[in-house]
Amino acid sequence: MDTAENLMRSALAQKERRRRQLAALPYAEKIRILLRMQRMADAAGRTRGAAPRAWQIDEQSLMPLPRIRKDR
Amino acid sequence: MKAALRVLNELEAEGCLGRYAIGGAMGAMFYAEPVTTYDLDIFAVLPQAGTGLLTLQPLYEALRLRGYEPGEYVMIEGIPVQFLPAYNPLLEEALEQARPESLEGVQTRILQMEHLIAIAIQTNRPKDHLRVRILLQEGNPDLALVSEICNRHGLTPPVSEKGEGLWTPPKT
Repeated sequence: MDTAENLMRSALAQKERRRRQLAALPYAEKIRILLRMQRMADAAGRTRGAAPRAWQIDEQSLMPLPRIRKDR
Repeated sequence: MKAALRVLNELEAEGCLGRYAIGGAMGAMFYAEPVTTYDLDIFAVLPQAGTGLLTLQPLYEALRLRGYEPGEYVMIEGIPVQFLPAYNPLLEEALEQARPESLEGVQTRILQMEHLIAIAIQTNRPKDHLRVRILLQEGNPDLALVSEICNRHGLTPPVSEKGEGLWTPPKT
């Protein structure tokens, strides 16, 4: 039977592996993850009246969302 | 993000912005896991005014002409961009040696990981300490190069060239 210490060691090793996997992703994929994290943070912020801060760009194309695109 | 980088490339081509590169949290994210951030830090060589001082004026004028209003940051195509002048020899060297990268077809530059570590050590805020740790753990930096850069710029390297020793933030 695993001791609590072994379980903890295994959990930490898993976390470390996960972080390394994330670090190895292409930059564009990391930006897509960042956009999701920003939107989650905005959702949490809304409950305490914080202004939204997530980047207004499309997750797939990484281009501006239509409503803020400027005519140039 | 891609549209914002295209604008930066145009500004650089027009000479309103000198050589630029992505740094800060977005630069570190190139080498490490994503962490929540809201700013795109752009390190850049700025043109000199007649007085010899670095000036953001030509850049800001060019941005205004494109419809972007400069403030604490400039919202460019949905991204809050902060322009940071290369104001010391470490930043100048980091910009010179920044690596060219492509974000799904859009060319840009990102500061080298070893320079990002040295800049974080020099900047020395709590979030910089965390950035050093993350880059050392996840980025697999060239430790000899980190030491070389730190020594050249009067900074204490975070670890030995063999990776010995854990980096401890200096007491402030």
